[in-house]
Amino acid sequence: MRPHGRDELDSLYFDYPRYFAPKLSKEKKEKSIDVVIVGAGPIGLTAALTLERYGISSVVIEAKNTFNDGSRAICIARQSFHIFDTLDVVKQFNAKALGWTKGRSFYRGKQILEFEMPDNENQKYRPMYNLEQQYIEKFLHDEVIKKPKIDMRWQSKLENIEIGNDTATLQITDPHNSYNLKAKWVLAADGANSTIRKLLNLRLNGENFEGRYIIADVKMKHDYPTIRRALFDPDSRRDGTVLIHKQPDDIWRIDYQITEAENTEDAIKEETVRSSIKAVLKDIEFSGDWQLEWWSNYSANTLALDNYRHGSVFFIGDSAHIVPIFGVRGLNNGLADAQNIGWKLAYLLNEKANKNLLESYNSERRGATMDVFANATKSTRFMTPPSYGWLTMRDAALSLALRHKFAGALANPRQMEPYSYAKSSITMPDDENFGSGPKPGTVIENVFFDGKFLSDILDKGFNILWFGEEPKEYDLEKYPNLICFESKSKIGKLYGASQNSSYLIRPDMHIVGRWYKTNLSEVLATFKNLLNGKQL
Amino acid sequence: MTDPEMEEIYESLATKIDAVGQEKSDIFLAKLALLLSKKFTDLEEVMKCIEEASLDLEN
Repeated sequence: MRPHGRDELDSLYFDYPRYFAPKLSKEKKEKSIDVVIVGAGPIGLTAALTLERYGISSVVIEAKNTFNDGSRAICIARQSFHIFDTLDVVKQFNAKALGWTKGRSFYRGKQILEFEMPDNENQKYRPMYNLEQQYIEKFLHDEVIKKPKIDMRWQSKLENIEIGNDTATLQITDPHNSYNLKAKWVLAADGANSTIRKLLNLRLNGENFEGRYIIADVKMKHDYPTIRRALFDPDSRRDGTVLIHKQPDDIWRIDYQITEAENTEDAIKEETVRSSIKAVLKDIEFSGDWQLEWWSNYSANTLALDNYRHGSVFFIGDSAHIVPIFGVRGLNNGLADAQNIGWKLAYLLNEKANKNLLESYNSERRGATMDVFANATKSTRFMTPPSYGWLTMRDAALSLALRHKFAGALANPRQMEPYSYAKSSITMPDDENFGSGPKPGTVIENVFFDGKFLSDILDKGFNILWFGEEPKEYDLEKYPNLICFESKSKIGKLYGASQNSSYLIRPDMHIVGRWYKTNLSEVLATFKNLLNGKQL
Repeated sequence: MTDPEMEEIYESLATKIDAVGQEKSDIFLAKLALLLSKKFTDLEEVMKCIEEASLDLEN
């Protein structure tokens, strides 16, 4: 919502562009396509750019005429920056976003905990960045319009969909006309209120939590570093919790819990929001001018589809899963969904992989959601204790944390690490001869060496790290990019390698498998099995 | 006690306080304190814990 007298798109810091539906030729309208992406949010645009990277064309349809004003993600995790890096857009993100590594928790005004997220010289990107969602979409869209293979159609509304196993017909209406779009595959990136989900009669299942929040953006010149602050039981909100994040353009995100005594209807009124924010600002000792940019209400849910695939339709992002904000996984998991299905579909459409490979999308990405759910219950119980028992224990932990480190650990928000695909059918069991190094299923550990990062020298397809002599003959056309190191190199040591050790890495930087002592033909056989969708 | 073990204890206490109910939670926690104290051999240590638990309670 916007303050009285200001239009929905009347922002204090962002100029919303307006886009139009393309005038399509008859030929273009009737042309069958490989992939149609429904929704031009961050997830849909990332999917389109991922496909484009492997030479796959797509049509993106979006009902609105501009960037999102509903969903308001702000936290972008390290691995998402790596995704943007592979899509050649990370420069814009780096220039605008605010990187951060620290969080501080306060209990009744006293700082009880400062946590530090893992970061070191081997990391190309910071553990977390804050950036308003409008910029996230703008930077991706700026890249999309440079790509002839991506056909971006604004103001194009999905009216109906008929699906088969690998075919779909979408009925689209735009201001010029109504037409049927035929595609092999559909990516449903149409958000929490997904039209496709409704048209296919699919439901999200899961839990709703007790806590209700107001989520607001405020513009103010506040001198405080980019550190996430959590205020438990502050003067402004007795029995409530407040979260504060810095964003670019002097915008501050303030999330505060609506207490038991308040009803949502009153809490969401502009005057109530203003006085609540005023009290929070007093808590953080800010006395300057501020302007209210936007606000909304929110309550924590863990909801997901039972299956992320329905015939030719793959659900990616919020259309497939709704997670609580505290774990900062909504946007980040959505981006990982887009990348995951993106490379798999591209390998299939480029006739390099068989359809079985697609089966791993649901198990890997739904697994990632279930992992968030497991942690979300814990963090949500801490942020908004659902009963007297949880509140008593939470307050006891917070009170003890002032002097005892162990109690602070109970208050530590579980910050995200990328989910491990260790249990995926296309991940190998670990080779137990390794004493260290990243395990199969996890994202590679980045390494800084010779003035560059390991992630910089990875090819967009599969990569083999080979710790041994460079082979005399190697068919780069057919096989993964081969990167050779000495086992005694910095990478060799960090990866626990011996002579003739090897790691096979997927296009999304997750490790397929590793061998302590092997030969290249064994690694290549695994690569072929994976593309055939065989259990590894 | 490891962090995950502390978390398990935290969760089981929260659940038990709810199970015995708000009215009986004081006596439940007092009984627990006595039971845990009995596990100590050193009186001084228990006294120190009692003192520490009483700190930082002011609003």
